[in-house]
Amino acid sequence: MQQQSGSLVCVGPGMILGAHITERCRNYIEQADVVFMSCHPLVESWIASMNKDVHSLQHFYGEGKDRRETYREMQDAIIQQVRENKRVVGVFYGHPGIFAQVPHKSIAQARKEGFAAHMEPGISADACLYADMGIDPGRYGIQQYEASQFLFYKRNIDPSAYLLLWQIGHAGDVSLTTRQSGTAERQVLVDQLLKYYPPEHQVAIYECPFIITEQPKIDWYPLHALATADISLVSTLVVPPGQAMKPAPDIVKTLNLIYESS
Amino acid sequence: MSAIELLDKLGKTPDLDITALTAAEQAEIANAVKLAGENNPVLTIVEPEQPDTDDEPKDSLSD
Repeated sequence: MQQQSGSLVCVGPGMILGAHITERCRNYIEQADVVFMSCHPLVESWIASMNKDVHSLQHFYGEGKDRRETYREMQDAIIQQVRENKRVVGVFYGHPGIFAQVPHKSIAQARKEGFAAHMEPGISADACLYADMGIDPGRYGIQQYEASQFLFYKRNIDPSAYLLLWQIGHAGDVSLTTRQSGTAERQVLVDQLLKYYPPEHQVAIYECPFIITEQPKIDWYPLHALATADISLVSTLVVPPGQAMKPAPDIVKTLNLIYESS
Repeated sequence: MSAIELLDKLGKTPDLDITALTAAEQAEIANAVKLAGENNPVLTIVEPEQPDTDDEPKDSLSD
């Protein structure tokens, strides 16, 4: 298909206003013909200072509105401008491709229609989590799931590694709206986690701030109390390892033989 | 400077924190935060039954 002149780049300014944005990201925003954004209102005001043609995607959300429709509308708005042969930049907080389907789908659709489209990485919420909580994902390993996906599908987890559950504020919500799930739904999550961890196992609710003047929220609870924890739509559940890693001596023996014969 | 400009400057300057600002500047930031409200931060959705699309992984191992 012949390359068309419109283009799409999805970027992430990081989590904290002013602190995480790369020069490259800023340049993309400044040089765009049109910018779409889905970020904290203060961050959107900040982005608006970089380009004269900016549009928030936030108005596509609605109380009681199916989020699938919201995300389709966001994607349509972005693609329409690309089809008008504009240089379009989509700005999504943190990293644009982590727990964000609109950027991925918009890029895929733009490419399908013959437009240049790609994604630039940004500092993600989990990058901030590792820094704020002193976690090295390489130390014990880390597994990450969307909280509702963890409930809707049968996932096996390794309790000797970290477990992060994202979008915990929506955990178990089947309405697919902006509704935050309640205590009863979270208890279903707790009951699933109790299959792997003891009731007193300490878990944390983490929230990354959007501005440098605020501190990260890191609140610890015993697992059995998680259902009534203070949770918002920006909360992430952090479950530290609950048991030691189990050595695999047979595999180590095989690898030693390989090395000794090399 | 506006609240946004102050937050931008604080964000990019490691040896500068809010205590270096005047009371009026700190109040401006506090007011901006209060007025900003919240956003809808959730940008992905998981359905209890995934639609059967070509890009969904297929079972490669037999039961």
